[in-house]
Amino acid sequence: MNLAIRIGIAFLCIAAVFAFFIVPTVSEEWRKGSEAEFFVVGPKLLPYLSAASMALLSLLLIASGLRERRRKESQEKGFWEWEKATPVIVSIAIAAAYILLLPLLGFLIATPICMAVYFWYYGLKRRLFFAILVIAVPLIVYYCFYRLISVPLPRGLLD
Amino acid sequence: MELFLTEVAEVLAPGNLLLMVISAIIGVIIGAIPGLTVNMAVALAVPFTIYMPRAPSLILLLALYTSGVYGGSISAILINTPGTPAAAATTLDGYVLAKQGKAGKALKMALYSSFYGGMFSTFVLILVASQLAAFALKFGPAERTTLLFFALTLVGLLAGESMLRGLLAGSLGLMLATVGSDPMLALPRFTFGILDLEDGFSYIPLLIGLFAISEMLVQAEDRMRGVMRAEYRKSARREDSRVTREDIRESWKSIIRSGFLGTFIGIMPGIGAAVACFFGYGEAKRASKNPEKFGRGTVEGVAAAESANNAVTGATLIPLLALSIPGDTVTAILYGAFLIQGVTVGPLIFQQHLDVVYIVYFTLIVANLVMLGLGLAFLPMFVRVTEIPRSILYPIVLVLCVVGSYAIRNNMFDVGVMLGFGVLGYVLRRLRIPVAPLLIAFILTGPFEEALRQSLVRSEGSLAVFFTRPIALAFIVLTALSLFVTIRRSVRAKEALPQEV
Repeated sequence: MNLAIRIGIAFLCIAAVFAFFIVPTVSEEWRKGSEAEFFVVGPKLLPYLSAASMALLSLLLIASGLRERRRKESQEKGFWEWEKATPVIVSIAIAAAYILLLPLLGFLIATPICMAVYFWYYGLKRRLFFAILVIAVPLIVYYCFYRLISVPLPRGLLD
Repeated sequence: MELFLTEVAEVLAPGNLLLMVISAIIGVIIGAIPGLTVNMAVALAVPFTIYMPRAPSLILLLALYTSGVYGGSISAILINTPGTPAAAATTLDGYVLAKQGKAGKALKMALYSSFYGGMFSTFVLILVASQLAAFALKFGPAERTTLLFFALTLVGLLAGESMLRGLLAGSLGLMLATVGSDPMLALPRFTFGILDLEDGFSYIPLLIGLFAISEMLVQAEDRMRGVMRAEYRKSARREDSRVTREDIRESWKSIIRSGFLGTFIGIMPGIGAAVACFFGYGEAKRASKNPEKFGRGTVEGVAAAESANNAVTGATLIPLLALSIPGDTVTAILYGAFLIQGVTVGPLIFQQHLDVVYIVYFTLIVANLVMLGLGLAFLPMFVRVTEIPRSILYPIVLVLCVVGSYAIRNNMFDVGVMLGFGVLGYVLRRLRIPVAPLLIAFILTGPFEEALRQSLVRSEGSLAVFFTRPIALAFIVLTALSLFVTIRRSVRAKEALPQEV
């Protein structure tokens, strides 16, 4: 199965779940109001249109994928390569941990921890230079954004 | 006239001028670093403009945009890696020139032609936008519906390599934009009791995720090992480090032609500077008496590519200001920046916020001049930034992404949304699905739904309203024609492929 077919099937599933399970959750209460008679179409029109267009395009993509497979012209690599996926998953995990830690530790404590973990994971050697960066960057961001232009920063329980 | 002079004085105020210079320097540096794009720079800057007055915020964003597109040429010429996709065609001759010891000549030619392209498209913007807006004022809901439908289709068709994948990204954007209150009855849709979703997904975390975080994840694939030495050897011959009269004589026609082409492409939604760059380069090669010189190190190739990509910068603002249609990613981001400043772009901007229009016009002119001055004065410094390791930059970018997403509504939910859309953007890019149509569809869905439902209310549910009004019908015909032409071209391209047995 080539990539176009897989993408087509994935989007077809998304469109089906959206149309059959998610769109029906929109309330129909609006039809009961007196001025509601004025509206010939309701809030479900565009969600259904988006699901229908996605389903149609997915089917076309599947058809084009099948045609490519018959002609054996697809040169696309698969989506998943473990060697490349590992650092991506680690990066997402570090970012997620950082976001979870922010409300607990606050910006000034969570940021150096996150940066230090990143630098450690990417194997950076010049330790003193990175130690300075890990401390300086959050302080510069704090000063420039919070102090100078009053941009709020996440505050933690420890702040 | 008085208003115009007031806004000119505002742009030229010392504080604003300093801000423009700093933004232009940051823009060139970010543009020059491969992996950091202009889109990312503008997306990260938008949240901070909430806390700034209107003029400085627009100056900051427009200076970043203009100079960032030029900055992409520096790494394209020196390390054969375009800092931004818009400079992809610049590598073809720029890097060859750099290897020949003519990096100085190539960089200066890129600067001059970028300046010309930027200025030319700004003047076209000034001449065309208000006329187009005056015409657009005649549009009712039916015309707006079909115009937005045309824009949505065109963006999907033209962005990326595959028409179907571009359109799929657009339909996903359409779907995601339906989360939140419905625009006519204010009924909650797909919020599942989450209060933070009442207004839908916040626009800024979405775009920061789609562009900055997804780029960070793409760079993470090779553990951010991307550092290259710049090819910046100085030649003993003085003329190798500067643009000579001979170079100008050789390139001026291509610079002017590319200026026109880039401006035309900029006006069309969904195409963008990367295509303009190749288009300008290709046309220069086709029109040249010596096409064999292209790809072997000719300044004409650099000039054509750079004039075309910078000519997009002013032109993309024409549909944005006049029709409220963002033509590419950066203008989609700017659309949100205008909203943050309380300005709704569209034909009425020329009546209600003429001051903002003047600020945009004059900022673009001054930003191009600043870019020229900075380029001439600090070129050797900009050359060095291409060598900064990505492993240092991206953790800092992540911190800025978090701060930017949090700043919009002061809540961590938006930061989570940013990470979620970052992962989605990464997955889409790995599947070779362009993310720009998703963002543009996400922005246009609100006005599109409103116009569609208003039209259907007026026509009591009849679709005839879209076919009986001449302008609406014209947009439907244009949409059908664009679909037909793109499908025919795609089928022909497939047929031209050799059949494997």
